[in-house]
Amino acid sequence: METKKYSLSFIGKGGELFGIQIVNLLLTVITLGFYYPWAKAKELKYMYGNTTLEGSSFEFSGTGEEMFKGFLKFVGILLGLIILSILLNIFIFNGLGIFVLYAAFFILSPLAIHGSYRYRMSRTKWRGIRFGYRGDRNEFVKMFFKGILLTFVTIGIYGAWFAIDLRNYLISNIRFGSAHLKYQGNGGEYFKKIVVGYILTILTLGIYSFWWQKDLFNYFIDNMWLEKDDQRITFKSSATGGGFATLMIVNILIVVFTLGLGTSWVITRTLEFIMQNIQLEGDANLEELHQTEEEYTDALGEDMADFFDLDLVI
Amino acid sequence: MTNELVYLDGQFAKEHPAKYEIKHHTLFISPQVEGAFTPFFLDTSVVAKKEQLNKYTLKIDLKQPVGATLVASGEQHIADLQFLSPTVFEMDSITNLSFSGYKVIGAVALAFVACIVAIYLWILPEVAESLVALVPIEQEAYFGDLLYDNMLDNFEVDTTKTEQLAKFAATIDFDSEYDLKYTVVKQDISNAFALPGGNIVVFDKLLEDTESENELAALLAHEVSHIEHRHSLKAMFRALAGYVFIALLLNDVNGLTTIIIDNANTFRSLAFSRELETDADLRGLEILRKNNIDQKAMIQLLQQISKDEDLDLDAVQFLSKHPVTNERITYITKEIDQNPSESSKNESLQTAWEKLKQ
Repeated sequence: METKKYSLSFIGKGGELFGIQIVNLLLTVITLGFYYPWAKAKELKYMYGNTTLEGSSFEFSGTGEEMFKGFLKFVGILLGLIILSILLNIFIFNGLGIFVLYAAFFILSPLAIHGSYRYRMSRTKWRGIRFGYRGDRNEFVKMFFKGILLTFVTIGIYGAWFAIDLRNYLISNIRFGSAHLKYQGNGGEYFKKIVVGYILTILTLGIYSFWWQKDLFNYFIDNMWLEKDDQRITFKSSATGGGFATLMIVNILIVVFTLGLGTSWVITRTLEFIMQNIQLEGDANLEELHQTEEEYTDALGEDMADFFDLDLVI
Repeated sequence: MTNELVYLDGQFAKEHPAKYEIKHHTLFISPQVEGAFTPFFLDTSVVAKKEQLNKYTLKIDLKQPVGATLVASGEQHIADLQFLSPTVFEMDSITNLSFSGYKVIGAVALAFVACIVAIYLWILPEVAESLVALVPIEQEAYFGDLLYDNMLDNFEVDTTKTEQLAKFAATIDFDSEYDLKYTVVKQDISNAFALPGGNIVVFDKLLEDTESENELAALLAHEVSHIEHRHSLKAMFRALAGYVFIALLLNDVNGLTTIIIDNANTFRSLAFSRELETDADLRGLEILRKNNIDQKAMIQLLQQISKDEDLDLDAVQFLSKHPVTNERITYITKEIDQNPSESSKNESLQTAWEKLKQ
């Protein structure tokens, strides 16, 4: 079958997003934070709806109610842990509570990543076809702790391999209906890019950082593809260092001169840049994708991941 | 964005172009390619859920078959459908920003910014100041001693004058909760400062510059007022609260903003310390009245030090201090007129002062 190019773009506008974010912020402040899940759902719906593949929007079908339930569960867990740590401090010895609290957060973070992938992917749709995440929780947790341990023992050096392992696992387990995403990165190559980029950035007094950013972005995009049976759609980045420089410098100026109020424009500009620099091409036919994934409604991981400040795409 | 209506069956990602017409007063949807899907009447009874995906796209989930969806896109196209079937194609207004929508959003944004500014300017300082009351005096003294030890490393202490100043101060009743301690250091600047918890440091040049025992008493009264009313802690709490608040608000977007914020806050702290100066001046007058010391000594002190190029009562130097001095003299004079008091010659005060001046 002949290959075909597929178009990906972001059509959102900073002004529209600002309208959503400012109302969200206001309601979140007024409700002392309880509006947060609804605010997040609205924002995600906007981002997804304004990202199009072949002219069709993505859809975030999650709801504020679902995420509120996850939010409540999470607040419950957090309160439980805090009370436990206070009791431990009082009745066993001072300091044990804090230790247990940190240990719990540490143990919870891979669960949070796993949960947020499951929820987020099952709530992502394109032309009615659901995404899904099929990673195995125990396998992921084991991998996570092994990686953390090795990173710790090697004073951070293994971090590059760890990051790539996570990426390989998480992305390769994402389903897009009857197709699935694949990522095949190599820790050694990634490590080299980090070290070389770091050194050049310092030697050029920071100017190289934009090209470094481009290298890392390209490494992320270029090693990813969509697979359906024996057909593929490859991902290729067309981003340049100059493009990143313009994007980031203007973004910084926007934030500084609007005292942060222009963040919405920064977000839409960045998404637009990312989407327009991902080139999709291949022989897999997207029209033949069919529904394979179940719905999954537990949003607990989504909120935990937010709390730990874990980015969804690693 | 093309103007179109497509049908998705919820099983495959294939789009089935659809067409519409009015049949029996109802919208009738049928495939453009014969047999692609079963034609149906579209009214609210078959709609499971509708949602606007973006400004130009409206999605309608159908009850039957489960998972099937109708997607209308294109501004003109949606407008046409809305005209034909207003109940089905009514848009929610969250992302559909008409001009009036922008006005509402603008008003909300403005109100929000106004709230934040109000909190920052008026509520936050009050809250921060009331928190000062929660700090125990011992804690404050401990902190002040730390500062004192740190600062004194840079100075040479004049032990004789330190003892004499303590004797001088002992003749005045400050009525203070704090354990007041005085230190004279050798420094060619006419200055003095008060640290939280009770330490007062006076530069020997200032002792030379004072021309009467009453002026020195006025200086001490001013500094003791700073301590008594916990001005340092208040200023610190205010500055810290302001910083934390802005950082939280802006989500600390990057280092650059932090620098800007930091400086903005410094300007406010400067303005605030003038406010504290006024307070210390007025409370200082109270102490003078209580001790039957001539209140005008406060004015003489200000005039005295404003002659000197480098001096001020406090470590903070203003860009232009003479107008400030005049302003201070004006309100001090007013305060004295409103609260006149008897003053009498205080022998022990004078003796102590003469010893200091030797």
